Amino acid sequence: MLEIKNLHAKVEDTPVLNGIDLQIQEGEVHALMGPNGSGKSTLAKVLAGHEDYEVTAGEIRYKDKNLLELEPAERACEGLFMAFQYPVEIPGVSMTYFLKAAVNAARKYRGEKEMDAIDFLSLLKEKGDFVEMDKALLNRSVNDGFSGGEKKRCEVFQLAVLEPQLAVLDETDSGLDIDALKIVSDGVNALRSQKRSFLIITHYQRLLEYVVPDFVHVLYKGRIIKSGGKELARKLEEKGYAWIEEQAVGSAG
Amino acid sequence: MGAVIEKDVYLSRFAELEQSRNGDTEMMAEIRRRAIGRFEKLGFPTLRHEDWKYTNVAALKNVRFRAVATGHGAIPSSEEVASCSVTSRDSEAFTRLVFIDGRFEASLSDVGSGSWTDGGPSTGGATAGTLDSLARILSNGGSAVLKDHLGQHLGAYDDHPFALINSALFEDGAVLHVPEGTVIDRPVHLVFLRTESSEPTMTHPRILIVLEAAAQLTVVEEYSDLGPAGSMRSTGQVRFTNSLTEASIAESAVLDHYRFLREGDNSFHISAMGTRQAKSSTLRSTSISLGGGLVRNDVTALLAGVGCECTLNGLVVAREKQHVDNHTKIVHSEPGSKSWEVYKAVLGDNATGVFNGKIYVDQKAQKTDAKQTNKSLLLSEKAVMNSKPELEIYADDVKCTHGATVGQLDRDAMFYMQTRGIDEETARNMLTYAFSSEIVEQIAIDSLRDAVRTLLISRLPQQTSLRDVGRDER
Repeated sequence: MLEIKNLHAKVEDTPVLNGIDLQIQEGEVHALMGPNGSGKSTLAKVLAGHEDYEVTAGEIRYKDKNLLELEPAERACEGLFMAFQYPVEIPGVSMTYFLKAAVNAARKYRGEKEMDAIDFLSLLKEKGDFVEMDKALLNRSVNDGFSGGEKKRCEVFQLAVLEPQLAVLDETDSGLDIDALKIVSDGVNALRSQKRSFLIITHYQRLLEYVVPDFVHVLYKGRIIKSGGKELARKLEEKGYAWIEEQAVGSAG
Repeated sequence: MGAVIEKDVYLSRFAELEQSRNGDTEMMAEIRRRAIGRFEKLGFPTLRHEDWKYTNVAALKNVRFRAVATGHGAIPSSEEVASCSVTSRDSEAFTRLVFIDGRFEASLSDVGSGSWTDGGPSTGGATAGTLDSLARILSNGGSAVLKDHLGQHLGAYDDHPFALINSALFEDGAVLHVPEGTVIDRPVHLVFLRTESSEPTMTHPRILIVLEAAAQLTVVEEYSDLGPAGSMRSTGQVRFTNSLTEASIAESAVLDHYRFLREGDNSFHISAMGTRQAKSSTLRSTSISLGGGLVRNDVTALLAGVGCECTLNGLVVAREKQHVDNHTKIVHSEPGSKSWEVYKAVLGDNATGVFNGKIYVDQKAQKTDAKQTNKSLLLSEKAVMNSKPELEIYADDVKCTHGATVGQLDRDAMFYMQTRGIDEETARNMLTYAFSSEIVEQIAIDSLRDAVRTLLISRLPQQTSLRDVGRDER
């Protein structure tokens, strides 16, 4: 489903990704861990198509397409979703209208008829119940004045509504208390399926207690330096990133 | 060449009217003579005048405008009128006064003999008040309301050349007088429509609103052109609208006022409004300018009683070469009044905007609470906004805040929307609309708000993407 080969990217003139290789198959859940500044969020932004991040080498294939040739909106319509680390507040655009525009953009892209108001509202209700979203938030402006927890829950709600094939969660666990973390994880777990893949970017192992990944990768200085199963996450938690850094230095030397 | 025209257009029109006028009372004649004399002395403003620093009227003063002759052209059908005005969808909910090229058109209006009893439901109040065309009242020898109020609330405009021209040359407009304790339920819609002309034309609409104690009224002023609905594209010659509105709001009275400008893009549109509020009264005024080529709107609100509330909101959406200047002045002259002001501008292409917001707090006006905000969104690199807050405060126990921002669309929001599948163009429109919606969503009349929303969306670059914006919320 997703194949990243030798990906190099820079922000302004600073190289951040220095040769990433990663493959994600249908239905797999991958966790990408790493210390601050290792390039985790940069990879998420490159996947989503942020214009400030320039790919200097390598390629990304997504569903047998060259992902880098697609506009951000096209990527979304192709089933790629990114849950933001810092969801953006958009005063004046209601959550409901925003989601309707998003749902119908994807339907239009696929050549389907737009969803009518009644079907759409029942879709919102169903998915809202699913992540225990406060219905009042739907009538408010997108993320406007939401608490940190509400914003993150709302990202998972959008994920549920848009039903992507590949969801990238960029530090969705940061800033969540344990209850919110549980709700978010339950949501993600319920959305796991044979057809849907996840790339969970996180600094901590905490989220991975709830959403158990199939694979764990460690990113360091813009490269994946270690990959393994879920036990790798636990080991990182115990030994800290220093352990991996030492290994990386050791193997380089 | 140009210099020869300048004041002459207006002075000679005055002379023409002097000869033909017989309905004017001596008082009226005096107002006119004084105004033209003062205009003759002042002349047109130049960029050297502080109040006109950013708005160049040179192009206007060199046009030989003519007054539109009575009976000019055919009277449009009510369908045509409906298609060019914001209240067409729900006409039952409004009492309408329609003016074609500045002249009252009784056949298109819902006014009978000129009092509220003909103009829709009201509650309370003993007397009938006035709901009529100014020309009709003048031709009947004037009225007590005119005598007491016309020209009495415009002290602030004694140096405003265009307000002076209006006073000298107005021929028609509306007079709305609501008696004590009367609440007029049905909003009044004043529709000023212009026909196409083969020569440059000018009109000087005059509106007088008088609310006696505890009276309540909603007034919608609209300036539009006949022709393809909502296009705001001018064909034919340039036209000049020079309107003047004055309102007296007595103790505990409430005036809700809306002003929509959607004239064509080669229009010169200059307007001034002066309001005077007595104790515990309320004014809520919203000005929305979408059309016009060279536009200048002045609002001066005098809070002359204790405990007044005044809200002035404004929205400008301009593109191509439009120039829209809003000058507001809120004068707190007595203690304990509150004013709120939010003006927003969306400028694209080569459009220019001006906002000058003055708040004056007299030494006596302790406990004044005034808040002013001016926000502008520039959609192109060539668009320019000039924003100038002016606070003049002579009392020491007051709360006055102001803030001005000029910015572009939020890139983070653009990216966020795109990652949800919304294409760039639609995202841009949604954000632009969202920026403007703060003003539009405050319109208290549902049908009016819907119509303005539609009209606003039609002014955005790609309108189809937003056709049901905001509809889901209700």
